[in-house]
Amino acid sequence: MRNIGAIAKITFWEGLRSRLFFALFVIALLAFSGTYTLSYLFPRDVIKVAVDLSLGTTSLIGLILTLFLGTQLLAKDLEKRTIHMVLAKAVSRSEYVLGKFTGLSLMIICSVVLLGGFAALATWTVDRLTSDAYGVMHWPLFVLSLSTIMLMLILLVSIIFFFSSFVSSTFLALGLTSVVYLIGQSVEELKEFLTQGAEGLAVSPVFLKVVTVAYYIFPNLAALDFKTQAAHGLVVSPSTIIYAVLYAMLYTAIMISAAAWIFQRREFP
Amino acid sequence: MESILFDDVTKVYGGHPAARGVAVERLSLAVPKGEVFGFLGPNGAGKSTSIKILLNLIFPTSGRALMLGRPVADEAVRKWVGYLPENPNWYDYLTPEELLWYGGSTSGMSRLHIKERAAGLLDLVDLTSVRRRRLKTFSKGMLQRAGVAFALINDPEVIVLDEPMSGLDPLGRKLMADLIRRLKEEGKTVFFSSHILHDVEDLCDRVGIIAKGRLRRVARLSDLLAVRSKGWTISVKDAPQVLRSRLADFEPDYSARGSFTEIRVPEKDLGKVMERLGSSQSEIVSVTPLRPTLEEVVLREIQQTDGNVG
Repeated sequence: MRNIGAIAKITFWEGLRSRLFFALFVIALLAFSGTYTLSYLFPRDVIKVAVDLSLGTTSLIGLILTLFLGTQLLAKDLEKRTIHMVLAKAVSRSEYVLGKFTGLSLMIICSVVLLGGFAALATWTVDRLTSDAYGVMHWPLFVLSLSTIMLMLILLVSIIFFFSSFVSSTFLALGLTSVVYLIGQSVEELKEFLTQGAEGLAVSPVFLKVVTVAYYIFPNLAALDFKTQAAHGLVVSPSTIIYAVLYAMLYTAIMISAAAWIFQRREFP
Repeated sequence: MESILFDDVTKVYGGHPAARGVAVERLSLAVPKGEVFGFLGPNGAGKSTSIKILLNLIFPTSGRALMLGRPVADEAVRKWVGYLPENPNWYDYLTPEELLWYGGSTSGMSRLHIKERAAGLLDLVDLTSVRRRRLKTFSKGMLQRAGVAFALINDPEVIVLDEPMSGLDPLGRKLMADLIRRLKEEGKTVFFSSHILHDVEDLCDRVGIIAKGRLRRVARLSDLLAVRSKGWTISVKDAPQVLRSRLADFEPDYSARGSFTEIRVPEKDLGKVMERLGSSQSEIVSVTPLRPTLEEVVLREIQQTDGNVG
């Protein structure tokens, strides 16, 4: 545990001090400060647009941060061979993977808390300055949405780890994770469309099979997206929340275990 | 018990037969406790591969490697091992203090112990004044010194250095040489690779010569250099012109060194030349054996063993 903590700590320090981290926060601040003005472009749905915008900004900035910082902090270890220094001490490969993952997850948690704080402030300002006739703010759903954004980003970190465990290029790991993200966002919708909503369309059984397999292999990131519910104040059942949380945790655990297993067998010439 | 043991280690790269390359072939080598061992050979000889096998960064295709009597795959053994790679790459945004904290923490040291040892080491490598500066601002020499402190933070029993002198300025090389001597005095085992042979001459107890993945010879440095003296150098306080006439029938090599002249004579002529110089009242300053340089010895060993194999 001590080794995992030590690696997590240096990963966290390294990430926190990177220029990318600060640059994205400046962009996020600018985006949040524009929430008020942009929301009033849609006078009937001011609150809905404000929630949508602030959660969307948190999700997007968090995604960029995760993809770039995640690949940078892990794949660079392999590319620059910094891993030689880390593993030269009494550290096992699994401890390295878990430590690095913990450090990056801490970064994600801090980022989402900070970004979420700004998002909440921006939305709260709009809410205070607007009469209830323009919409009602649903804070529990807002917090739920932020929490699941955080879980989704941590899940993406585990996918970066999985790819980085067997590819040695930063760009390849970044590209593959981005593809998984895009598939993960749309695979559920596509499967539902093909199985339920495509009546009258001739769908090839092979294509349907491929989409079904993809649905089970790729992470269903749409299951972790509660932005629409938060904006519209739609009811979310506790079982849906529990399913989403358990799904994200299980998928993350599988990806990290696979990464650790591959790292154990990998050489670092 | 040996500090380091390679037992019939072979490392083959590349899975496809066409791409296969033998990086290290049947390496067997034992380095006892307290020895400074120089692992010599040209670039691509298999030195770094052997070191990476020791650190468990790569795995041997066959054979086994042990450190302090334990398999290198057991990460716990590295609590007593220090390693400095050829080009240490660090986390850009960390400081030397944080780096040493990491090294000490993963070696099971207490916070207080790390603090004390880090202060001493940063002082030793002259980085105390920049201990809170980020490593990305450091020069190559400073990074190498930070690497030395990192390798030694856990007060290791065995120190493995991969080309420690490479790319350092003369001051940096002196610092590294002094450090290796100091580690030897403390009874540590030092295993280091180098292709700059001049740097190892005064440091090693024994050297191993490796080329094309095969260990060619292991010997004490003095034994290696003592073989087949190429002749003698006699320093005389006379001008070359004077000596030329006195030693005309021996035809030795002359070179002027300020007010002295150095005469290089083959082994067989030494007695007669000394006799001639004595009878002609020349003032002899010194007589030293003309030894082959380490470069020459290493090259000869490689050529000889290549010939034997071929």
